[in-house]
Amino acid sequence: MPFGKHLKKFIFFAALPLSVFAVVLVYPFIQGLILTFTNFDGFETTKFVGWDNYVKSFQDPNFWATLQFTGGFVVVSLVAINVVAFGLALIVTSKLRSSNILRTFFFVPNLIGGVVLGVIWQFIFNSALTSLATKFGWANLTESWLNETGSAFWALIIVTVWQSSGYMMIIYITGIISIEQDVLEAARIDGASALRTLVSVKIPLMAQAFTISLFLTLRGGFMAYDVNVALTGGGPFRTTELISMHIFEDAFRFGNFGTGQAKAVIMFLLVAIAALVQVSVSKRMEVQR
Amino acid sequence: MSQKPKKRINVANGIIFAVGAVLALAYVMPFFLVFVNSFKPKPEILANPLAMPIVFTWDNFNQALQKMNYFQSLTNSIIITTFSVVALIIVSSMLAYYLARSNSKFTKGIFMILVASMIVPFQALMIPFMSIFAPLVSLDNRTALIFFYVGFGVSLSTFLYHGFISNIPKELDEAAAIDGASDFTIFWRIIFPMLRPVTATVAIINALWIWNDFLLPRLVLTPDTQTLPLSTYLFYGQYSAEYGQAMAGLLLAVLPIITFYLILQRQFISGISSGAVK
Amino acid sequence: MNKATKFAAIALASVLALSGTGAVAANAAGSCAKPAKVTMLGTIKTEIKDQFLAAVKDYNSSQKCYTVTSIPGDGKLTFLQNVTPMYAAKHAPTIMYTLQEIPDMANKVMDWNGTKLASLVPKGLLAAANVGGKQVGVPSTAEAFGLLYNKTVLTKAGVDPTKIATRTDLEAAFQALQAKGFGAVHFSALWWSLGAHLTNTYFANAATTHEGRLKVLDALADGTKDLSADPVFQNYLATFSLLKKYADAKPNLTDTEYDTAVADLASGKTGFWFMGNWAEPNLLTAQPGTDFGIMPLPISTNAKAYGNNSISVGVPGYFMVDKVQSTPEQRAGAIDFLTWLYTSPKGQQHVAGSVKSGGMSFIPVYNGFKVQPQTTMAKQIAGFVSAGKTIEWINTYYPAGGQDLYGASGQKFITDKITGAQYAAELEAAWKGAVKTWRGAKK
Repeated sequence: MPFGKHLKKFIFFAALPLSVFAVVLVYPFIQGLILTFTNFDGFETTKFVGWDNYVKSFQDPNFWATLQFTGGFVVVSLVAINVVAFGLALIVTSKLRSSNILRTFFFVPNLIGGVVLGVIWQFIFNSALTSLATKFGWANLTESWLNETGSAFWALIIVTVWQSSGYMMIIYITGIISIEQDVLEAARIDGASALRTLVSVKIPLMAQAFTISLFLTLRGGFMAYDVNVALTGGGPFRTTELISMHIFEDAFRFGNFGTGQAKAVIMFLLVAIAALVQVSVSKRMEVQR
Repeated sequence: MSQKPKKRINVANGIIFAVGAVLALAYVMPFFLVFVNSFKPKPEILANPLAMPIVFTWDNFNQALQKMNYFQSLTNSIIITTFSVVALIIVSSMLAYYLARSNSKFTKGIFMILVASMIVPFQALMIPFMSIFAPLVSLDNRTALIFFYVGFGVSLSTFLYHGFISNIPKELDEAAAIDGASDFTIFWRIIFPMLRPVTATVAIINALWIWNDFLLPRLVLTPDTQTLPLSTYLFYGQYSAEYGQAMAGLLLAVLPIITFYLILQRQFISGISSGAVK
Repeated sequence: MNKATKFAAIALASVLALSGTGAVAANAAGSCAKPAKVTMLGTIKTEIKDQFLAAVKDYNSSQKCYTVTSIPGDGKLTFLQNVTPMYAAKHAPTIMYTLQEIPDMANKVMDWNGTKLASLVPKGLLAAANVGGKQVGVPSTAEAFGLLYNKTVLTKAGVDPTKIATRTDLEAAFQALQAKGFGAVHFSALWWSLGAHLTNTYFANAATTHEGRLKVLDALADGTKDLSADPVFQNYLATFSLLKKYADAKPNLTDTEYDTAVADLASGKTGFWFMGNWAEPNLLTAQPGTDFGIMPLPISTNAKAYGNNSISVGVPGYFMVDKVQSTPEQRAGAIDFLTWLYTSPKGQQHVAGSVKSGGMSFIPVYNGFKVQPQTTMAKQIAGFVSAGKTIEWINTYYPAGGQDLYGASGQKFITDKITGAQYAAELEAAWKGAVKTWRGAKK
């Protein structure tokens, strides 16, 4: 194709979206990288400060606590969401007449944004559960789960699983349905038990669904913000801040735009590394089957 | 076939159904709580959050509708979501078509960048973002927000379209080109209509994201233009002690999207599942 | 008592005394060049949001020039956290209301010098919002915090609040309450209560002069202050522990705490609550007809110790008007609204009228107030003020965001996550390196 025609095509089809993409995503990303080496205060920069912002970030004990908390959250939520979602997918695909209704119910929490879900659950943990517990004398529940770091962590996990499992369930359902009936039939004729069929036939044949679902939950875990803000607000005393919220707080609450941006870059690197490792491991498992 | 296995299957199905039903109940319980409590006065909620209302009141709704500027926020959400999604469909399908058809190193590179950008967290852009776009935002924050959504959403949408278009035989466009059709005609008359299933996917995935998005609108919008999640959150923050009103507000906030989902359920599920396998 | 607080107290007393006299002419209903939309961030405070919004509505219908709207702030965020993105996006609110962040805002807002409102406020009450001669804000009201009590409960337990002069007396009172089966004290683990108000009982008592207290802040910022070696801090810590020990419930760190506390004191489940007079309307709504009073929180075992017989009285916040992103019409509207609120008969009714009648139940700080609050607590506060039994709100000078950190440390101490010594160390660490805004230093 002659270059002129190619250019015309490019301008017609690609120029607009690519320029919006460049302006909205690429430019701020590069600008953000540069800012981490300056004394940016939210309004202006006056000088370059080298690696200062990164050094300060790693000297901040709250940042280390946040990294640890986020790490725990990512791992636990990843496992819990996928186990629950896969379980739901198995229930929904077992030949029940009610499976469509069940699927509808499981998916509903996914429609609602994290902020609204967060405040609904805040009401449940702070008011509904405590008042029920007081009434019926359940000693362990009279105090809100959001009152202690440990139980607040599990509250975050519960809400996240409740919210995301429906979406991942759909992915697993797609995976299960895509398995050809002949294969399952063959397994049945060979006398394989249901569990055996699940582990040796179904799961390996839908490895791609696992790759996608794990990737999405991993990414979601690192980027979780809405539920965090609305459910725990980082409390008690800033011990349940996930990394996204920590960055927002650092920048907009305490005015540390330099370290806030440096932490954001660190977060990006963490997400990128974790995602690359996960996808390459999962892909290898897909191939090996 | 003998009787026995069939019976066993029935028992197994019974167990699965029981587990499924209990789980389904657990999944909708929070919504049920919000629903029943939104009709109760405050003391009744505190006394027993699970019970049906004894004193039935609409007052919570009247208060919430007014205090959270419900209809204004709803309109804003609809406007912002609709325009963003339509814009995303138009530009992403065209971009994907271009990238899928002209198979050069240049376009492959662009595609890689688009895919890679999907793991960039918004937090990494948020801080420079506000100082870069302040003038645009102050000019017209709703338009600015739609513009941002196109920028942030274009990579995933293009990715979804790209996978689909790659499976459409090239001979189709070539035949049309020989008949003298322009690029514009080929794309809009022949290719785009074939993309309907993936367009549904793109529309649903983006609509869910934009409808529920919180952080970006929170940074960009003003009280006149705020969306439903934003006004709900601010309303709840101020009135969380007025449990009845807060619950009514939450119910009002989730009502539109749940209604929409129940009407278009099939499209939602198939849209998401075909988006997932790509 | 130091000069500044004494002056403020006398000024406040004179306002209270003057009330009912000198009527103020309602602002002239002039014609307006251009109608303008005026925005205000928040509603002064959330406890009286409905009452404030009613006042706004009344104002909007009283004239045709300006429309005031309140932008709901995000209650989980600090003032600066709310305002910074708004400034960055170039849609700053016209009217802002805050306390500790006044120095941060000084060069973004207009000077109130020479305005009618500023001339009606006693100078002592303007001081905290005067930055280098510029009058950055005008006050909303005066508030006091200390130990609130339920008179009915105390009477039943045979406790006379006026006889409690030392920490030892207080413990005896707590024991008397418990002996009768009442909860002794409700101790709210709210970060702002622990971070801004409870800490104030240390800082206000840390020196007997205003300058002396600022020196304590200086030393903390320089990192040269050893809190554990300060006997006043030891008393403060002992009081903190005392409140912890006799608390009627496990500390609740969630958003439901304030509500629970109001219910506990109002219903008579508990006798005392460490809080301020802003809670009186909530208490009276929960249990109408009960007498709720306020008394000092004595931290020393010596009845004669400085501040032991005094409650903390101060201005909780100042109104500021943006001058960098607003139009002249918007500024005129902002001034007109606030002037209407505090000088017109209708506005005053909204400000000082009882909560039951739809007012905010504020203690007036502007000369010429015709409406006076009638509640027990408000009258008691006036009594403390005229007797000179007040200590300073030194928390006005806390650095922005500081009280969040002290509050978080307080929450850790109240839940036994850290010891008193660690609490002291955390406070020192939070203060170290703070920019001395109380000396006029810029960030």
